[in-house]
Amino acid sequence: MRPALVHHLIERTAARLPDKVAVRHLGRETTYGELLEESRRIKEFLLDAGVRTGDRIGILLEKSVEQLTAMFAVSMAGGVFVFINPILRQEQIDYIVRDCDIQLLVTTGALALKNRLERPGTLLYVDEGGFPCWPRIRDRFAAVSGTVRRIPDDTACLIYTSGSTGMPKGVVVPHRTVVEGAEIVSAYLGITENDRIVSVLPFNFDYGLNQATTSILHGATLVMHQFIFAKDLLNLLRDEVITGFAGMTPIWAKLFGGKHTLKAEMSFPGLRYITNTGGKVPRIVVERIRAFFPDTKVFLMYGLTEAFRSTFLPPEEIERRPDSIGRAIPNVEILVVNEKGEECAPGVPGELVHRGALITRGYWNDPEKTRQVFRRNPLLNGQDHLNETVVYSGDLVKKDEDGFLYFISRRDEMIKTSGYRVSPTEVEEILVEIPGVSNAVVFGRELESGDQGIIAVVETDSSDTRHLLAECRKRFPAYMVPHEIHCEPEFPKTANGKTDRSFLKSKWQGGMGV
Amino acid sequence: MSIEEQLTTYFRENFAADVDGDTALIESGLIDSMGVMELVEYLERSFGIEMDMDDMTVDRFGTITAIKQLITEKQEAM
Repeated sequence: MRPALVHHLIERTAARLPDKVAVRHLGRETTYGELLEESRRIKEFLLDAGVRTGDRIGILLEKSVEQLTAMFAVSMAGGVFVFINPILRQEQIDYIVRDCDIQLLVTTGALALKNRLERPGTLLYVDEGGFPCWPRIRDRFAAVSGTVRRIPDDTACLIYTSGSTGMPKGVVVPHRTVVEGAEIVSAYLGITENDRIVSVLPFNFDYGLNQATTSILHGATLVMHQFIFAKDLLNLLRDEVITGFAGMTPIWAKLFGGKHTLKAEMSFPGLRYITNTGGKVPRIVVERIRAFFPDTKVFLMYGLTEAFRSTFLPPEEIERRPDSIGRAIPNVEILVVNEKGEECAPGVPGELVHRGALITRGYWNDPEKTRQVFRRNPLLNGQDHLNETVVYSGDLVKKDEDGFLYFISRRDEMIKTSGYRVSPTEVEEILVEIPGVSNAVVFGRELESGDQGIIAVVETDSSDTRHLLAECRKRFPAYMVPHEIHCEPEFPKTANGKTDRSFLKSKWQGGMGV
Repeated sequence: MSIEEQLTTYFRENFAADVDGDTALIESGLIDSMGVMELVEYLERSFGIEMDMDDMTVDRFGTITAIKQLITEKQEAM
């Protein structure tokens, strides 16, 4: 039978390849057999600690193999795992712990101290930093195989995702979505047990988690890495003979956009594929990626946590359609729908709607927002009594004649200026072509006239906004030239490593500068 | 002020942290990737040196002693 629950992934692969290295981190190796054994012991601890079916168990850890053993243990014990990124501020961590009523938290002494954790009452320390301390008590728990009975529709995890406003929301993800997500993505990336996949993205981000599950599903090796400097990452890609690497826009900005350039020649003969997700990469950055990694296939991907993964652009199409986010992944259909709920003709902008595999259940504690996003399929041919939930993404896209999709903007972010509708993405795309600009965030602000102004924040070492405006005038039609430009030496990131757009927006929303 | 003193002052003022020559700056999580880029800018400005990507690794920025070594090498090469 196919795997149906999250812990089936490790059970099956450990049975087949017990001595294969599952995870490498800072030179330490863990085999599939060891990963399974440790997960089973922690599962016994969780059951002994009184964890009941459906309890939320937090995992607040830096990148480490313990994140994965804890995840599988929670799945085996019938719990719901909640990855919490340690770079979050204390209030954000407290919020998540309270919001989903975390019963037990797996962490380290340093993180518990730094965040003055008082809730939940029960902790498990994976280091010597507190009690119960896993290294000292692990021998008390046998690595037995029994698990709590669950079905694929049961909730496997909550993924907290930051919206444009307010505190993060917990997306409720069933086992089915995690497991099918691993099968679907690994099918189109062609992942096998020969792959060595570098894990830079955090596991509290759907695609970061998906990298781990695809790797474990196929018995590949996951090499964990904390991204700080571009050069360390490039050395790792070469020295560890990495075959698969997933990046996001801020990572590309650091590799190719800044004033610090690479002097040494490097080549990566082992690197089979690169993926990008978490926002459109500007065309010029795609070109730089392809020039730097000439022998590597580049997959541009699009997904939203509520539907896990949605589209990818096959590498052979990148030349012809470098701006496309591709087509639906296997077992998924992507509709482009207008405000009346009808399908849009090619070239006509509409909202991206995801149907099929990988739909999650909704937001924890938030029925209203769930009803807005998780809606009935609008195209049921008059059979409206039939139940089929689809996800409305809030993203405006259009399709070309061949069905390839193009991202336009978030639906609520289109800027109306001088009678034109301007896509922030389009302005950002052109801004990063200006030498010295590595990243850009564009948004609109209401002017007293009732019109909207175009506000641009650019990541650059320069502060010469006059020069930047002159560059804009050369490149943009008059109505697209930003009304204000602000410079930032380095953009702040969200916990998932994305550019923190809402922070930059609120910082510069008031207006100042040019 | 010696290079070492300048750096410890920088960390006290910007990170409210008392560090010595061997304190792990990155592995301990004291500075993250954004903090590190600010540090790079500070070094370039204050010591009149220019970094390239090949200089910027966790090994070379891991401790004050390592950073001091990097600054000295850069200044000598100029």
